[in-house]
Amino acid sequence: MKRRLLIYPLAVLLMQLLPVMAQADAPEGYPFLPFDKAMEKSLTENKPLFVYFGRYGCGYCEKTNKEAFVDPEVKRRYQDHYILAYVDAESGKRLRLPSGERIQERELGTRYNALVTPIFTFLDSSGKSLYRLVGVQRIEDLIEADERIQAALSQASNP
Amino acid sequence: MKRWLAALLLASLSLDPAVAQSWNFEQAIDVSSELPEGAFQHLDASGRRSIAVGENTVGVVWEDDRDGTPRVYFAYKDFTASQFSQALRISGADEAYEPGLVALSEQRYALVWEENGGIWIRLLSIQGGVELGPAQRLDPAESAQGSVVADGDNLLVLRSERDGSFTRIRLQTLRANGLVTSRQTDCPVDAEAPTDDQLYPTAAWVQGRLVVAWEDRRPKHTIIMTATQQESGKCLFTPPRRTSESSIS
Repeated sequence: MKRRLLIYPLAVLLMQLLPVMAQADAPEGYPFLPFDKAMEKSLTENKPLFVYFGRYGCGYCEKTNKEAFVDPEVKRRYQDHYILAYVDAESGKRLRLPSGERIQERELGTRYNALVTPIFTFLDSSGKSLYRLVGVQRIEDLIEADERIQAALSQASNP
Repeated sequence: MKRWLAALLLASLSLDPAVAQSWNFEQAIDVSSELPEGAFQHLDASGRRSIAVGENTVGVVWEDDRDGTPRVYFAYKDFTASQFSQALRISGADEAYEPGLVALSEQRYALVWEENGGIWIRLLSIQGGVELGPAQRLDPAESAQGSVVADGDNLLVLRSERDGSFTRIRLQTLRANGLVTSRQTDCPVDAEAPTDDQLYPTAAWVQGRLVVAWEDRRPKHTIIMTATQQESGKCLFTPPRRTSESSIS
């Protein structure tokens, strides 16, 4: 009887956790922000944005999170070099951009051509796209992309 | 035999006026030209029901923030008129989003939108000048993404309503009396309790029955589900069926 009493609340707890576990969110341990907050911060700190376009239930996002974003070197580079933004490209969540424009996350996905997920886009502070990665990424892909962006920014500031 | 069939098909296609004639687009007309610089307009009705055609008139509903707050506006024009009416504010004091509309008889329109965490409905008449009915909230529960269709003077309003941890598609039927609505029935489209979010409903009449479609996240990603009204006028639907491809993950 006691065991039954224990099993029921555990099952309820598991049911509540399941959807959360199945979601593909931003990778754990990274300071990802909503896009509008990230843009504001990017303008204030004059740092480029790294935007992760994911989607609820995106298996390839989860794979990239588990296999590439867990790497300490990736984490160090992306935290140091970029303002990080996460966008659920199917969500109706409303954002207000620094321009005053109100936009939904899914409209933002369309605007940045994130019609599949995951897509990782590097933007400057004005929102202009600099470079993007499509699909599952490995550790070396993310490090190489960072090196390219950093080299291009360095060249632009020291022509 | 196959060649004969192909030739017959081609011949029948060439006789079809819809195939033979290309589309003709007239010059675009501004629906609202009164916006100050820096204001943003949105056509984001659930099911994309932002435009409706009535008796010799066309109505458009949208949201913009011309006064700094997102609000709902409506404009209309006669088929033959060269410009739209002045924008008419429909929503109340709070931020308002995602309006949709449907045309009714006697030059009336029914408009729905989201405001203050719920779905609102308002009727208006453009017969001999604009007359606005009262804004009425469908239900006190938290809901969004309203969509409206009509069956004569019966209005069928869909919404995505918070139901515990998830959102659930509900249908409310209302009777339009002049510019006032009275609630008839209210039921979930899927009789089973949701196991994940149900979002962005829309509906269409198919052979006299209402077919409701929505985004559904029950397999832990987004699919499209549909359910059909079992009997005209009844708030009872067939078990929902997946209509999007099963291979997409």
